Amino acid sequence: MTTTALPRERLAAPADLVAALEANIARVLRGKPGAIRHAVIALCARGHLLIEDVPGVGKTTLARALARSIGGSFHRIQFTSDLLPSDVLGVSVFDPKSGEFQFKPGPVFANLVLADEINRTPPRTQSALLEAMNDGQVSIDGRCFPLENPFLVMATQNSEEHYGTYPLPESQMDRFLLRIRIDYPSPADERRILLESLGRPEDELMRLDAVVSVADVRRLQDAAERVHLSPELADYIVAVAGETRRSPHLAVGVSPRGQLAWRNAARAAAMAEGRDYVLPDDLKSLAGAVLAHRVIPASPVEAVARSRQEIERVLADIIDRLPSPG
Amino acid sequence: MRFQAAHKLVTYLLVLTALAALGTTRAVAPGSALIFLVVLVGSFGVDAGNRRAAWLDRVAGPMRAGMGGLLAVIVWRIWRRMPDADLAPAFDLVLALLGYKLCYRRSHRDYVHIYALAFLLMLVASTIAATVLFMVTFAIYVVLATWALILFHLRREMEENYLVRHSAQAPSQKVGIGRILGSRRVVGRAFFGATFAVAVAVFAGAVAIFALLPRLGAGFVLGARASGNVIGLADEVALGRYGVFGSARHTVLFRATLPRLGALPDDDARRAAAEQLYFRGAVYDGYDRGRWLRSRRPELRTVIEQEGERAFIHEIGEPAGRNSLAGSERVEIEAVGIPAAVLFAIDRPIAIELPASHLGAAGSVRVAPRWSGETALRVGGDNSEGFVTLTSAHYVGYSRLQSMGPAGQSPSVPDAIMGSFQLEPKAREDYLAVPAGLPRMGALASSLGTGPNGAGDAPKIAAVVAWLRAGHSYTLRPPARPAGVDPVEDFLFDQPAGHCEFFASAAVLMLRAAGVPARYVTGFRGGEWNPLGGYIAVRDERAHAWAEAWVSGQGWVRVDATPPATGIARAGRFAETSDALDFFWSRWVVGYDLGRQRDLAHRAWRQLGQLTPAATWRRVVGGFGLLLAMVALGLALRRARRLQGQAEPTLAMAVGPEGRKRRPDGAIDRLYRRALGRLAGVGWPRRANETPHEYAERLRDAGLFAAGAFDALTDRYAEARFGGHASSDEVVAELGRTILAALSIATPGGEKTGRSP
Repeated sequence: MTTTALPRERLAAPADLVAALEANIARVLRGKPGAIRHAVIALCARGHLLIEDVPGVGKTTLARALARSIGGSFHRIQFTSDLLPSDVLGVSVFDPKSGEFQFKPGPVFANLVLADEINRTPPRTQSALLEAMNDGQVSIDGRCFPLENPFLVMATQNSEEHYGTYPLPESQMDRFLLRIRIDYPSPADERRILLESLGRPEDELMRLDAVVSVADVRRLQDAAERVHLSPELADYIVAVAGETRRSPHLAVGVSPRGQLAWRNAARAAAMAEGRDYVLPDDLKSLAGAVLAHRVIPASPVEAVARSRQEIERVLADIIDRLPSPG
Repeated sequence: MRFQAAHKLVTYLLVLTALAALGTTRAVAPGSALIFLVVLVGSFGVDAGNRRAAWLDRVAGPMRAGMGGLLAVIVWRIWRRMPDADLAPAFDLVLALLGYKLCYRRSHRDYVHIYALAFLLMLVASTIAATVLFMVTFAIYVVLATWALILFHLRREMEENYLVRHSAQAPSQKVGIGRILGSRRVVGRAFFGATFAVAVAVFAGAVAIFALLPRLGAGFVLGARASGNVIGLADEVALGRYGVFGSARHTVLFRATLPRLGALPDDDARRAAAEQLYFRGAVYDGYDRGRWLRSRRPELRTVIEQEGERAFIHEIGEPAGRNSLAGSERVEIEAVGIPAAVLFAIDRPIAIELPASHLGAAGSVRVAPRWSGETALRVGGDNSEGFVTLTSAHYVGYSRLQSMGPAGQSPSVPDAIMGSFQLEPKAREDYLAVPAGLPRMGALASSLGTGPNGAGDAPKIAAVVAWLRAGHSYTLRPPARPAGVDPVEDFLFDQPAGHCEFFASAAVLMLRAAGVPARYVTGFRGGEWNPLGGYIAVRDERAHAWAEAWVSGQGWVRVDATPPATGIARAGRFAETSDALDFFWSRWVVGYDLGRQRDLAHRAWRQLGQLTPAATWRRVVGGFGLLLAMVALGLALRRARRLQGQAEPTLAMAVGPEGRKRRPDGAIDRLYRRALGRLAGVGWPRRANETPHEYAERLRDAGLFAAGAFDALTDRYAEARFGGHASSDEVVAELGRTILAALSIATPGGEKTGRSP
């Protein structure tokens, strides 16, 4: 066969890898398959994840479990109001022995970075991290230091607290591929957690083994890029983006970058499902997570939390109105 | 609009229309109608489940008792007047039942009763009413009834047969009908529009069938004999007592269509010309003490020469070579209610033509001769005495118009009539007979210098008319004539005032005394031009009597001695319009027969024929061809665009990200569409915003029997559509068999519930 059509058997492997990865994380983060899937999608689509939620629902657990499961390095940065860019990126120090400046890499140099409470730090530090996320490298003193590959930032922000915070500007929000909530587990899951978990959660995390290698993750990322998006679905993406720009409820609609992000996320989701093609269902299920933080509501005075629900409703309306492909 | 509200509205409109139809007959008492209207309005707000309905249900017992009492009273009223057929109490009975039903309408059964009662009203009204107003209400009723019945059947279907199952295991239950009837979504505005359109279309179709189906009638097939109203005509006129059909009743007796008037420049000219027409009917030859009689002598008999559908009429002694229609006027007459058997036609008639339908359907109705140029319609053989009255018939008269000069110019100068004329000696004797007992009149005739041996006929006629007009006045209320004196003598010498009958009688008798053969004729003078209908309406107040005198070499000449009457007031605009509608109705609906049909087809053909020059035909054909070509081009373009729309993704797919060759799998695509169509047919259409998998999931959640097979199909379809993985033909064929088999099992049994058994 001269065609380059991939046999589906070869792509079944990525789906198996994803399944193993998710099963492993689920051992410590119970009842949250959706959040786990989103994290995996962000990882496979070479994106980053913004988690907006109240403390204590397992944001850190998710990040650490993911890091342990891929056997990669993990750093956590607790953002505070006095954190400086160099605290994140690293600093050049003078080495009297060699008589040269030597670069001490900051916590951003890891496969998985948990940027906790990112909205507590001033914009200067925020942008340092966001630029690094975007470029995949850090430039200090005219020298470039490439970041790890794979590189996934999971930023959290507490959406309920506003005092003493520096909310991320909309233009920087769209550096994140997905914005999700974890939400409280269901009562049944909470009961199970209470009865079944032994000792401290940290101990459970420590017992987690790596189920895939960093190389496997790179393979997954490559595989996601090869997932087919039919022209019909590209039209659909364009149509939805167009509707968001026309909607009277939204001041700013989905940008081309947003469209690309939607496509990449849907490809990763399709791959996770074991498909080599995107379904309209992939796009629809990810629309809220990918698009909601990329549009600006028409009434800026509204509170962030309320406008978020508002925006998700507007997006759902738009998608409901448009005829589905197929 | 809610289904319930719409159904109710249509039903009320139907009842109102039936009431209006009854109103046109004026047979129902206004009080009963008013009470019914109040009940009608009051009951509109009553709906199953609301406060008023609850109140009505509470008082149902007393209400029923009251209804029972009312019914008893009405039945007693009907019983009391039993020998007379008085319909008013019967109407009250139906109205009372209808009002009761309107207050207690809860489910579709009550609506059936309402429809039946409304139909009863309509049926009764139809037997009494004959005006065009009734027809308008009837047409509205037909459309509304069709519409209401469509909605009603839907409602019954919903109330009785709609079942729902809340899960695959649960048994079927009836749906909460109130929720559906009250919903705005179950049936949308478009649905009501569509059902109304269906009702109108049904009506239009019925009208088309009425117009186009050949109207042969059962009589034509079975050869049945007509049994019409058969009467004789009173063969005499008593001066001052009968003879005039009645005055100032404004009833249209017949309508005449005279094509010649159409050629006149405007309606005023036509109106003036119509006033000049004389319609001649009965002819009387004998006078006896204030009475005009027909002597029925054989030599006065009318001669009829049948030629196809036309009966040429002339009198014995008139030349037979007249049976040619050259130079004659064709007048179509619609008789509405002429209370006589004589056929009226414009003075003087030369032929009568009966439409084919009379000959065909009614068997042996034909133009029969009477006396002195009179004709009538006769049923049965020659020996039968019966003539048909013209309460509703139409026929065509061919006439030679005598001069249509300005009003009152008399005597009319006759047109030259072909041939030579000889009055039979015996008939001449009749027409010259002056009864004894008129001594003064004989003397007068001589004193006028018009004695039997005086000048020619024309000067004698002129002298008589001039003398009568000079000394006598016209009145519709003639003074009482003393007994024992001949009314004509009294009119001539003692009380010189009277109406046309006196003038005509006096003229005839004076002419006879002067030696000019004369006779007394009755008919109508002038008609009203109706510009809307394009015909002349003749009302009973136009009844007239005049004289005819025999002028040698010219034949019978009209002599109207009556002074010109003050113009008869024109009917009002409304009366004119309503009469035109009646005319249209009687001509194109009641009188719509095979002949009319042929006439209509003929006219349509002629209209086409007027365009005939070959160039026009070519233009018509060319225009039609061009239109066809444009339509074909439009269709082709649409198809091409659709094909292109399908082709575009294929091209883009061919150069997909990995250069894989992808093409939509036509077979699976078609199969999927087909399955969608089947599912939509059993009440599971795919929503526009649903992805294939969401749809499949919905079917699965609903427990649809075919959902499993459809799942597999959806997977293959999505694979082909979004992934470009073509399924092999065998797989598609196998899938097709499974899914179509599953759907066909689901379809007939599960039609009502759409679920597995």
